[in-house]
Amino acid sequence: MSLEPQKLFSRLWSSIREGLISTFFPSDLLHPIEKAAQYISTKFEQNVILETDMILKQTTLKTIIGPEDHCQRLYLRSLTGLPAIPRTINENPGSVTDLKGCLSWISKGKIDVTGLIREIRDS
Amino acid sequence: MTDSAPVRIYPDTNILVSYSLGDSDENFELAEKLFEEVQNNKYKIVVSNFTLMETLHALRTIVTKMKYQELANSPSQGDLIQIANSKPFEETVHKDSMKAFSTIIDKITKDTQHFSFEPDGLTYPNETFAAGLPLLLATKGSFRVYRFRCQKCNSYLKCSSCRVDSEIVYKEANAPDLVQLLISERLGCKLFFTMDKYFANIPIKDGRVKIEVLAK
Repeated sequence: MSLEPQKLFSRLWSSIREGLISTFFPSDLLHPIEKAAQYISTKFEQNVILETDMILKQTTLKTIIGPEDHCQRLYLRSLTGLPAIPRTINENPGSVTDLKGCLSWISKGKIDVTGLIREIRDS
Repeated sequence: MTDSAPVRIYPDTNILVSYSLGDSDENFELAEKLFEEVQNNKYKIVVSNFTLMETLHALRTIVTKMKYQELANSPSQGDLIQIANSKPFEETVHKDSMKAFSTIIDKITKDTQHFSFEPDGLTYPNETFAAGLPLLLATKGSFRVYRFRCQKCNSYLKCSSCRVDSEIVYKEANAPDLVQLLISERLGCKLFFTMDKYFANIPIKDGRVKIEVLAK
């Protein structure tokens, strides 16, 4: 069984720290091993952070909707004949803009919605 | 993006419908600016059942108006009565307005990050609405003169009998406006956004929901 270098050094350093095999190495070798392990560990952490950032940017996040909130959303959807949504849904950061102009097909000309709702409220 | 939690805001029905209509609405840019801030997580929108009821009614009114304006030629009153009572006209208006309403519901219910809803089973204590009458009593409206307009082609009209072409109308925030405002307070919103200028006359005191009238 072969181990990747960072895993090998990491395990070795753990063992040394635990004092299990330190007696098998001459003291002049312990320092270089410690340095190498620290270096690999730091590089490894940096890579993990970089890769995590990259993954977060490229992966759609999952959101779990609270039970009451989910019920209310399902209720509104069922009233309008829409299919249910699961409690865990993909979070779409651009979702507000999905709403923008989604009803533009209603009119070819301009509408004064504020004036129209004013009329409805006054009537 | 902001790091702090978004502020809960209550947009008036005119803002929600305007943003959905896009460029078709005269004041769309105002609604768009507000929604940009929602997109940037500065605000989180609270949608009440009252707003949804008004939205549905507004969409039915808009679709009816559009269908009426699209009618060819110059239909007589008799023709219009026949059209208004016909099944195809009723079905078209119902279908199109429901399609529009369910499109909005679909998008806002899927978006958990920017939209929240009135909690199920929420009750409104009488004090909520009792606060409306003192507000209305303290609100001073204004008188406006409007010219008569044709609802089909928007041309100005003159009465064929008395030759008058305008009317005086009393304008101010009304009971439905105050209900919206009071609901927003009950739902814990800090800001109430509207594009209706009559809200600016409501004498709401400090410490309560703040009214922001979006204007060009």
